[in-house]
Amino acid sequence: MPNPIINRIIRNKRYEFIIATDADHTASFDPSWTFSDSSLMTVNWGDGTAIESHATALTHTYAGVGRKYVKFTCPDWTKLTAFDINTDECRFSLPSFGAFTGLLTFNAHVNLFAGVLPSFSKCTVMTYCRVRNNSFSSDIPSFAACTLLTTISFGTNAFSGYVAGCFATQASLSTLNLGTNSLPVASIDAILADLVTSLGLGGRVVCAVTLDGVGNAAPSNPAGLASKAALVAAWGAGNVTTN
Amino acid sequence: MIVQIINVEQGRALIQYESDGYLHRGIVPEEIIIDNVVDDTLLSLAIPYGVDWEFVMGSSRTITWKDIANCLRKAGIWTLVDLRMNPQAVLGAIQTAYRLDAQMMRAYGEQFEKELKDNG
Repeated sequence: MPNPIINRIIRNKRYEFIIATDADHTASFDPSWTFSDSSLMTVNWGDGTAIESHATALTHTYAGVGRKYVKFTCPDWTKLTAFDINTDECRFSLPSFGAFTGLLTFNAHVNLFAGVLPSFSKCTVMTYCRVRNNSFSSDIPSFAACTLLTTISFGTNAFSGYVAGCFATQASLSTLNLGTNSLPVASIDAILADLVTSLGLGGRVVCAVTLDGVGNAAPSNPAGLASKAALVAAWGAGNVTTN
Repeated sequence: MIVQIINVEQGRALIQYESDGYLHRGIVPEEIIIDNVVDDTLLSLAIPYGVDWEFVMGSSRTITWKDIANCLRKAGIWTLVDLRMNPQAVLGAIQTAYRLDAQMMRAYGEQFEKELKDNG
């Protein structure tokens, strides 16, 4: 499969990346973002129209059907606090946001992204990450260093692995949706075990855990089921769903 | 725009082209290159390749004639006689003056490459 997405080049904290759409893209493209300062995101729509800049969001309507290439230029990657490209028919791989150390929320759900989900390990203040309804595969990248997370919504993808320890450090995580992926029993067990470990963290909040759906394995018996039982005891049966 | 393809990797192409008398390299999706031509509109999306020397040279101290004159004096070139007696010292003085910026450029380039590696 071609992978024509250009990720980035870094030049004094300026960060440029291109996102491509599906070949039959017709709709408008409406990305949004926020910065912690007065920075402006610059967007080249790739169709010869004027390059635009804005502090929070832009909308662009294309003249015809076809694959679009959109280039974003972020003036300082440390100042980006939110980025949202949901439901924009984006395809191929997702650019890396690993350098965005101030990123709080990231939304790229309901697109056509595939391949490996890049690491967010340096986004240590991130609270919200949603890439559900794409076609990401391979491992769920480790979020062990992102200890302020409240929401991970990765359902309906093709994730097939889990980095042990990833969710053991999460005290604030209240929504973990990994339903309808391709997670094997070892990954399901590891996720449940790490969540059990997280119960020992001070201030651990109740978490709604979704691990069921087509493609995911059921927890093993007895180890996986024992972990699930511990979570059900802590958070209630309605908050822990597995196959 | 006619482009030269330097390298292709995973659907990404490093291309080289000349525009307005300046040489450029950039990274573009391979599929937008058709018979070594990239539509000018899509070429505007190219991610610049390499260290942006313009930035460091524009933001760093620029070598002035005064700097070069100072290096000449430090090399013992005070008079026309000194110049005639030791012409090699003139070249040495100029090299000394510019070496300062070369050091800065190298430091910037190393920082640039490190950030690219760390954050890519």
